[in-house]
Amino acid sequence: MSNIRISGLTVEYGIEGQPRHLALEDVSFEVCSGEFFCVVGASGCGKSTLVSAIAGFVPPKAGRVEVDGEAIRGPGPDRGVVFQEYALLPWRTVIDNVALGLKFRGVGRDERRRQAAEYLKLTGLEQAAEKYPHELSGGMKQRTAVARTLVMSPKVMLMDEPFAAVDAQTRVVLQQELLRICAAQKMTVLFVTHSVEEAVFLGDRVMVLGRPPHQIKDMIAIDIPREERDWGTIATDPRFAVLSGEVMNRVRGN
Amino acid sequence: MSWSAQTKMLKGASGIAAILLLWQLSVYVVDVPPHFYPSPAAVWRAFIEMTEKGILPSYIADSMLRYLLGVLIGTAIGCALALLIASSKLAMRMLGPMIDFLYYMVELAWIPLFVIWFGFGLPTILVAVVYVVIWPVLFNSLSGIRSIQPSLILAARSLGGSRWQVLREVVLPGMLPQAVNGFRVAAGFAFRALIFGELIGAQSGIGYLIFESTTHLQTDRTVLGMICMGLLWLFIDRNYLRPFEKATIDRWGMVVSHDS
Repeated sequence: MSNIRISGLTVEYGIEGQPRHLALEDVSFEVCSGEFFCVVGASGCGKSTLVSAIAGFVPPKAGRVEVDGEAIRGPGPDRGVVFQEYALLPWRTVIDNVALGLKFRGVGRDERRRQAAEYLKLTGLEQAAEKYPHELSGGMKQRTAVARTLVMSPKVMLMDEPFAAVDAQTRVVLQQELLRICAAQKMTVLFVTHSVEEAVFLGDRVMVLGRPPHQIKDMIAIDIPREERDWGTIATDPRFAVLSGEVMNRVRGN
Repeated sequence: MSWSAQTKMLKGASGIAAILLLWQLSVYVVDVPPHFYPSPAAVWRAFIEMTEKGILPSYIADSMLRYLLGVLIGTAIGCALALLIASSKLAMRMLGPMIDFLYYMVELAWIPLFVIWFGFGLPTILVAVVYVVIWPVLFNSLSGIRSIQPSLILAARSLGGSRWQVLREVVLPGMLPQAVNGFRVAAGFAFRALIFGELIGAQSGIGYLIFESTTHLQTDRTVLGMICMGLLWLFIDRNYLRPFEKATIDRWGMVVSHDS
């Protein structure tokens, strides 16, 4: 069953007085329910625009975005968005940041703090509940942002290079944690990255995106079971090396 | 009170006493008519007289009321305009240059026109004070809104925040540190506008006292007015503005310096 269906999606960006920039042209693909779907490509290929379009931040010039069979109209909590720059409210504590969407939904203070606390536990942030974002490391900030979207029980989670700003050691830990959490929540994920290794490590499928026209360069299934996705062992796994090489080739345009 | 604070106050008080003494002595030395160079004793007598007649207290009350009303109304209008303008790109482009210009137009220049439009008294003073408060508040609030990370607003919208909820949870707190900066500047401008306004456009108040007494050569009252003006500003600054500034820095300072 497909969860996200993109058909003929075309998105243009324009700054007044400049020729309009075609970010996405006639892009079509589907993401299955519960799938971890990675989009990889060089910078400027329109992969962030893809997230913005599915999130409902930018209206498409043509084409449709459907989530669970419904065409999207503007942003909404059914699609959780995780940004590279965390986008946490600096004046709110971790738990209040996580509870923000529940507050918007009209959930009472005690109930939303109770629910937020559950997701803090899931993301390993119990100790940080009453801290402010500036007191956190990059990794903890991104855990907070993930908890903030999960607490809304979204149909899909859209992640735009979420780990690009954290250090390498933390990134490895976060990637494994993310897989664990998404499996536990049976979450559908569309994950955008410029890192081939990250895409192959995380994804059930990897879509290689290039510049228009014919943007979808390839769609590669990563047939390594989720249980075997562990940085301790996967680095020496020949399947991982082969698939990474294949994706890398497609990104380079061969 | 601690010993060092006591000696500090004692030193300060003796400094003021020395100035008063020198001033009184200089009156004997220069030997000019009292209306030309009033002595501290004459100013003191004017203070007693005007207080007993109830003129001074009512003037001070008038000035304070105008100041307070003007600052409150001006701040409210400035913030509201900032939010309105920021919510529309067109308004931002159309009004941006004008705001910059009006911000630099000295408030004094408007007062004669305000007198024609609104007559002598409260409306003119109020308009003058409101006018000078609006621009720094608007200017700073706008730059506060512009400094909010776009992804914060996108994140709030994708979490289901309505326009109003995003305004309350993201835009208002995000602009607050800069709006407070603008308010502090405005509070100083407002006091000057009050005194200038009263010099020209009022029939009561501290500014009026300074202006009116000079035309009658009651310079002891003029000096009294000047002293009251200084004390009033000292009072406002120490009791309200500085604690307010400190409170906002304590609460929001970290927000400004650490981008997260």
